[in-house]
Amino acid sequence: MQSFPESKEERIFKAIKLGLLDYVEKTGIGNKVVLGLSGGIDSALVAALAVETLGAENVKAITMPSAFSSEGSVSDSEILSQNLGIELYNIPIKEIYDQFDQSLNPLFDDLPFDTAEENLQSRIRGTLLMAYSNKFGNFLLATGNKSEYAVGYATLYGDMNGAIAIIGDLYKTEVFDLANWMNQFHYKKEVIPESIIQKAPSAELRPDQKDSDSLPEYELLDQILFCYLEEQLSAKEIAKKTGEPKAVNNVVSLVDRNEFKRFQAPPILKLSAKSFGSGRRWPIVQKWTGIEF
Amino acid sequence: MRIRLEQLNPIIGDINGNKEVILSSLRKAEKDGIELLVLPELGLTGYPVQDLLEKEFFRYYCYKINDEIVKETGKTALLFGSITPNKKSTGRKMNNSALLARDGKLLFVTHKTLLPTYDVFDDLRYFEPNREFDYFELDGIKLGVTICEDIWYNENELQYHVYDVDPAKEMKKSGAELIVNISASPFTKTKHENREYLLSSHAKRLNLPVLYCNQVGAHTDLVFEGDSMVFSAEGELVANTKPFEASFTDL
Repeated sequence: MQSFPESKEERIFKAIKLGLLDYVEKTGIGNKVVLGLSGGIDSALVAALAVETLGAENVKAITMPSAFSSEGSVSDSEILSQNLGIELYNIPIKEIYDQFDQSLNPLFDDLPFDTAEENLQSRIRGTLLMAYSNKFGNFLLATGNKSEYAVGYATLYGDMNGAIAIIGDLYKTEVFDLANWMNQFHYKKEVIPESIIQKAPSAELRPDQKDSDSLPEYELLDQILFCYLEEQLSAKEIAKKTGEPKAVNNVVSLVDRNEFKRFQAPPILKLSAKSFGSGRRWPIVQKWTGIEF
Repeated sequence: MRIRLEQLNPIIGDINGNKEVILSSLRKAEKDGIELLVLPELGLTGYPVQDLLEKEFFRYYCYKINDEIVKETGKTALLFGSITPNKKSTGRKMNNSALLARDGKLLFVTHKTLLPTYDVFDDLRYFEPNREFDYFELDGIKLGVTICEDIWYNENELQYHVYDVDPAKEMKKSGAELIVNISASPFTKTKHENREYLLSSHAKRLNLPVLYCNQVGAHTDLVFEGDSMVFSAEGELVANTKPFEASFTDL
């Protein structure tokens, strides 16, 4: 008798590999990919999964530090690339960013630094990755996870660029679980550096930014998202379950407001009973919101 | 009867390529002395076919290849999934069908009854539902052939609809002695347990063996892990395939 993988992580690992391999083989898109490495867990996991599926020689990575990138952003990406045996290119974006800033200055004048400048960094990276993709034929892998697609913490035409989002149906907590599982049971050594797994999640788009500045901690965020998206509970019911009515209202309202982004996301490999994509049809132009119930 | 369930990995729309995959699987089964080869739902077209099915020339090409596959059969009976034209003057253009052929002849055709439209599915957009539940007797064994959702009768997620007909039960009533289900059922983290539970409880409830053959491979956002299984009338797992790859199991 054949055994079916017991652990959720092993199942997901095998499903993602099959999903990516058949995407490549059946479309004939070619087996070379490129992705941006931020020094964070999402891009590290996508790089590791791509290497497992397509081989190290077919995976290229680019790190694109800005003025707000932490030191670890580059150095952790270097360690990861070394461990995976992939080539890593470094294209600093500070000068490109300053050029944009200067060109926009007559319009923006002395308006404060906000989402426009944050997203600009992500879009510069997205543009560089697509340029590499066009020049060398490596198709771009999107690195977003389900938690960030849910609350809209991803940049359209920036880090949402890509042909397919292979971890886009994994909550952030599941991203950590899979990275830990790969180190422990697949590699049986530290291939995805602990320094990447341990650091506090951050978009690094403004000084000393942390995801937890504006979002609940991921344990709570993912619990709220699971209740809202998969169990189809109302905000009231989720507040009762979690005891966090403020966080629930905040998260639910973010989910409701961000369908316009998800509609433009790359195809997301479905791993759960309710994933963003072909199995969830939601109007973009609509007024209903879950926080009223 | 020697039966093989083989989970194939077709490519959507690669009709010639899929035909070759089906025929090479048939050649191997013939060589191995298999009497009945069971292949997954819509193995000729791949699943989900989506709006390729709106094109008349696509449909007619599939019908032509169905005939060619039937003509290629020899002493091994072949049960494969494809589309067939809806012969009624009303309704949708085609059926999602299981075709049984042997010795170059089409022996039996049945169609999918329960056509899901929830989650990622959109079967009722294209296919005319079946409402006939005849078994087919092959070498003295009365086969009740069902397709995918037909066996998920009221076992889908709670928020979705409730079906008014249980195809496997209707087959049993009409005299079937064995339920065969050909599927294209996508992966989720928890689907394996759901699948095991539902196949086992169906087998026990009907007191009939259940043979389940599922597509393997991935198409765009959907992954199909195969996980084809056979349950005895007592609800015990008696055979299965290697998941996440093209593989087969013999009975």
